Amino acid sequence: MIQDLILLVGLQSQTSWNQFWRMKLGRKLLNIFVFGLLVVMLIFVSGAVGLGSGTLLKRSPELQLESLLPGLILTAIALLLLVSSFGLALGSLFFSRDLDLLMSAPVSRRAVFISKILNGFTTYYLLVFALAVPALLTYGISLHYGPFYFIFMLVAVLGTPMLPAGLGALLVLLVARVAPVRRVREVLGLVAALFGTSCALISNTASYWTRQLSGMDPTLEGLLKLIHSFANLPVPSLVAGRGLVAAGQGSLLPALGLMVSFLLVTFGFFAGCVWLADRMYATGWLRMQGAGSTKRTHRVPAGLAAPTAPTGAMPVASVGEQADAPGLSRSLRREIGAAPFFAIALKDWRIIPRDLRNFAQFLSPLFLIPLIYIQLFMTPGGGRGQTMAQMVNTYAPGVDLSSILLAGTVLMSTIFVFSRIAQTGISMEGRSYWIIKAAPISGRELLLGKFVGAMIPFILLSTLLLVIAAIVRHFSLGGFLYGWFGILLLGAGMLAMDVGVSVPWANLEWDDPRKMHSGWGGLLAFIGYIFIGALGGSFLALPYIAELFLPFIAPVAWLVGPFFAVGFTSLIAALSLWLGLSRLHKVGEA
Amino acid sequence: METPAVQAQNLRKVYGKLEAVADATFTLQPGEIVGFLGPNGAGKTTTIKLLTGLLEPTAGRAVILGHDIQKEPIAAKASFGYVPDTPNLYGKLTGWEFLKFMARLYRVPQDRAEHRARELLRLLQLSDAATDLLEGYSHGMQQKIAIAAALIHDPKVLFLDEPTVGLDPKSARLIKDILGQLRDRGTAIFFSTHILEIAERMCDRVMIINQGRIIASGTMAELRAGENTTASLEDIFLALTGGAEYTAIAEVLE
Repeated sequence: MIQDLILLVGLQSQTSWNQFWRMKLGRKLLNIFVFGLLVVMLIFVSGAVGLGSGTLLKRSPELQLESLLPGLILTAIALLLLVSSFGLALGSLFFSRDLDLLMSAPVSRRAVFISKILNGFTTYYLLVFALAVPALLTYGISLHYGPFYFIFMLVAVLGTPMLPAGLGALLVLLVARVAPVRRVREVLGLVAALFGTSCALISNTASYWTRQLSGMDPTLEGLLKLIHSFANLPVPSLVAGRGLVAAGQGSLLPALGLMVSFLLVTFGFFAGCVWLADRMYATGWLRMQGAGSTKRTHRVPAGLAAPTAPTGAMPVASVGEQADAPGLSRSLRREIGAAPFFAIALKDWRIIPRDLRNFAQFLSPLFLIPLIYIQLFMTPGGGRGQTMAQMVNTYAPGVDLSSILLAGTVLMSTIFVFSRIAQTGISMEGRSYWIIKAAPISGRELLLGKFVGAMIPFILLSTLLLVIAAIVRHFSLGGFLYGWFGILLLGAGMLAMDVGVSVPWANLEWDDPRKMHSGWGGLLAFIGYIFIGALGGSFLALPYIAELFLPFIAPVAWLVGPFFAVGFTSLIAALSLWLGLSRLHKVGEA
Repeated sequence: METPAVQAQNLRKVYGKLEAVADATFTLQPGEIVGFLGPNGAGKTTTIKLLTGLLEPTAGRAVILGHDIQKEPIAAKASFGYVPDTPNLYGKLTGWEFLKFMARLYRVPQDRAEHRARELLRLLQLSDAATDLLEGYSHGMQQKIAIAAALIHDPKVLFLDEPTVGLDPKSARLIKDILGQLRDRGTAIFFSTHILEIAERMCDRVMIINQGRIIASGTMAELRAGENTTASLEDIFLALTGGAEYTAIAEVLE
């Protein structure tokens, strides 16, 4: 088995190296730069946390946290690794492309399993060395710990990924016994997005929670008590942390005892998990091979369930001929419904919600909407913007500034949801892009389909939100209509720009929908948003500014402002779409 | 004179230093089945992709029923159906939804599209799986639904890249029957295959490509006359593309 394991690990290293080495030079350099930058940033932040904590605890020994912090750092990292290990184990144990080959080859199945588990360790150690090591290192330096602290630190760091890796693999195989693995992968994508969104929401609503918790008397003593009771739990990473501090303070024997028990538990648990998971792996993998497809029972076309015709029973020449009947409706609705661009939009609307990982991409911006609305409606007096609007209304009664401010909020909160659809418009086709490319549709129709696919849901959601805002905040009809016009105009410009930008950076070679998004395209689109939002918004606000400061030119401003807004937004949209069209023939050429 | 179904004029495709297709010139007439043979990596798929507009040629042009695929892509593409070697389809659509989507792309009126989709599903024995997501289809089922999609608009020209790969014998026979009927209706069919027996039995003409160059083209009789032999297509193919190395097989196996 060991020989097989060495062979398989060697194979994995070789394929990873080849994948990197055979990249184009520019891409390789960019990857190195981005990766290096990220690592340096993480090291810097982690080091600063360790140094800051060490310095603080040195000055405030009464907190009695010195012996706990390394354990808390290791535990936090272990939790992070546990979350990533589930996804990594799922991917490498069930979705690696070489599994068919390996499972049918005369190599030990256990070697295949362990090699796949070990595959994730590069990522685990990278995370540990970028996040935990700098913090522990600077912590030890700031507290003037002896050399044994640093030696034991390396041992603790090497042992930390064992438990989460083993547990992650075991959990994956347990879940695979009760649920289809493909669905688990999609749900995991959704959970990861929910987790990220929750973190973002909590951090963004910190002031709200602080207000809510202010009545609970969160004294420092209570908090410290909570930390102490947690840090003394018999969790391996916390035990390792206590061992580190003991080593740093010169108590070598207790340190050794703690570290040995940490290593025994963590490696023993890893071995146990691997043993258990290995026994379940073959069953889980075979289940996945035999898993049937999802049956969608809605809209079953009439006559499809009829008995199957025997081979060659019906000549292909007769297929469809009797249906070529006259009397086709020529209504506009039918024309649009039958148009290829609408077929593309309809297809995207079907595909997106059916893949939860795809759907997960829209969650974070989608979750921001209720948050913004809660703040908008629950804040007494409507917040600073509303106070300003009331002030303006006092000076110029005809100016409904609150409608403009809320329209801006509605635009910004909804555009980020649907920009994901527009920006990944071409990438979304993935390896199926040949279908579109071989079909008799023009580039204009394709981009129109992608635009409509994002624009129609944008119109529906933004209109709904604006109507709610108008009812709650009592807009004037004029204010509502002008705000609505502004949202649709700027939104259309931004989404058209997204669609245009989606072409040059299209990525068709993805397996995970989260990887179809292009960083460069997103950045360019974001700059474009600022441009359209600032300039287009300024043109739209021109009549209001005139009403306030130069009322005599207001009638002209009501004509000129919207005119320039339409002109400017159309220009940006047209330029982006032209860029997209000019590059469309290159997509899928490689 | 009837417009040729397919005309390839000095088609050339170069990737860096590799010349994948070199100066390919040939014609297909309506109602003709042409088999496109060649060793792995000879340029078969690239040629089909050049003909269908999936790749831009470095030089030369492809004309489908009088329409240049690069200059009049919409008209050219509307007249043919294409089945790739690997049917990458939209996994999250059902078979029925996929066919309806394809019908809309090819501007088939809705009533006709629904009827035709229903009949094609029945013909290709996919009716029971019509409401399943395509991601759950086997390779053979995906191949069949791709063939159904290629036929949804009743094309006058059909390009197929290894159409029988992954199909069971019954399905392979069905596809051969369908191709035969389409030929009888005047559809021009251009397909690549490694199964020389299929090419020998079904095709009106055979073309052999090797290292990007078309090295032989004609009916079986013409090929035999050219090689001055009465041998099978397999022997002609090996003689043209190099089969001397196979004599070493016995030594390797020993």
